[in-house]
Amino acid sequence: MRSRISSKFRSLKEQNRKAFIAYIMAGDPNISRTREMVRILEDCGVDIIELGVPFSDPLADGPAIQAAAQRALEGGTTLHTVIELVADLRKTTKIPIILMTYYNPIFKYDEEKFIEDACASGVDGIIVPDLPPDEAEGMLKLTKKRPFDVIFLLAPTSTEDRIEKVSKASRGFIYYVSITGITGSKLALDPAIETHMNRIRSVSDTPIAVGFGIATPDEASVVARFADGVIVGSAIVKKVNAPDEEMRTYLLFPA
Amino acid sequence: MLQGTKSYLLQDDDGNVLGTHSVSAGLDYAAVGPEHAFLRDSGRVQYAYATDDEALAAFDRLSRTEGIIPALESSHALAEAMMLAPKLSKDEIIVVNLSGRGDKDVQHVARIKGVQI
Repeated sequence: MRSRISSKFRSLKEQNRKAFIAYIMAGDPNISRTREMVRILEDCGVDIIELGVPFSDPLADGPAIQAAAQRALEGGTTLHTVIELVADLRKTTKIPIILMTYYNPIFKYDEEKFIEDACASGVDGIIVPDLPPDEAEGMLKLTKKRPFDVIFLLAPTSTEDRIEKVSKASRGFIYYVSITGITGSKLALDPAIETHMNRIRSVSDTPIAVGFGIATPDEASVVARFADGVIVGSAIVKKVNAPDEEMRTYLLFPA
Repeated sequence: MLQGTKSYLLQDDDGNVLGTHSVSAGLDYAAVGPEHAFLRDSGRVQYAYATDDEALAAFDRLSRTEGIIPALESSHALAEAMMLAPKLSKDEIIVVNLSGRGDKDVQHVARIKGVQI
């Protein structure tokens, strides 16, 4: 059974378009704002939503998303409340939703129960930066027959062996981290990035989405030249409390 | 499961890591090395704890009686030894591993005690 994420990439490809993937932190500053944000993002043509689940020790995240996680945690957002939020969102939207969190909240929740509950609520996939494929046997087994994608990450420092392993294990898409750094860093594209893309494509047909440090429409269009999708996180998270008009103007440019 | 290790962890019901405090910077961490978790579970090692005050008292005692300044981390082990010793007979031997030296902690301890050095 094809996941909503794979279906989305497939239909975008037919239209010769690239995926716009937007990251927001669930519960920042509260759940009802997240609900509104999802509506705004969808209205503005976002293709896939990545919902951050706040964690106390977010090792891959920069200051903007760390602060967002802190606000969400202070508001009482947990993995449980995010799963409930998705179940609620599913009453009104079919947009693919991916959760991005770290392994300990899932481990504490119980991996099997988490997959069960996430699938039942309408979550389409998960990104866990501290769970490399080598350690993800359990999660891959649990999701094998479900339309639920476990998405793994590659970076400019990934070796040939890693590229092959991660590209083959990742489902839905391959998350290519554009820089050797944390989310929200200044984008400095490695000239080797296109070579890397070709290498990934030689071992896998899975779409590639590039994220970390993409903040401006110009940066997004550069990345969209060689990637199948562009992920924007910190830049949107920073605007979470901006007036809706400002958010819409930012998201719709250049469309 | 934190920073790539599976071990005992101070966490809340949702898996968020709790804040920690210790007078000794080296112990101010929400988890223990996974090897310790294994040794505890296998029953080969019994683990104890000491409070900041007990560790500071042990730091003071060894420095004054032996002229050896123990690291604040190791001072926790000394505190346990000092509590254990009166329960043992005179012939029994206790070995304490002083894993680090306390020169690095002298300024810190002076500040806590309000001593000018």
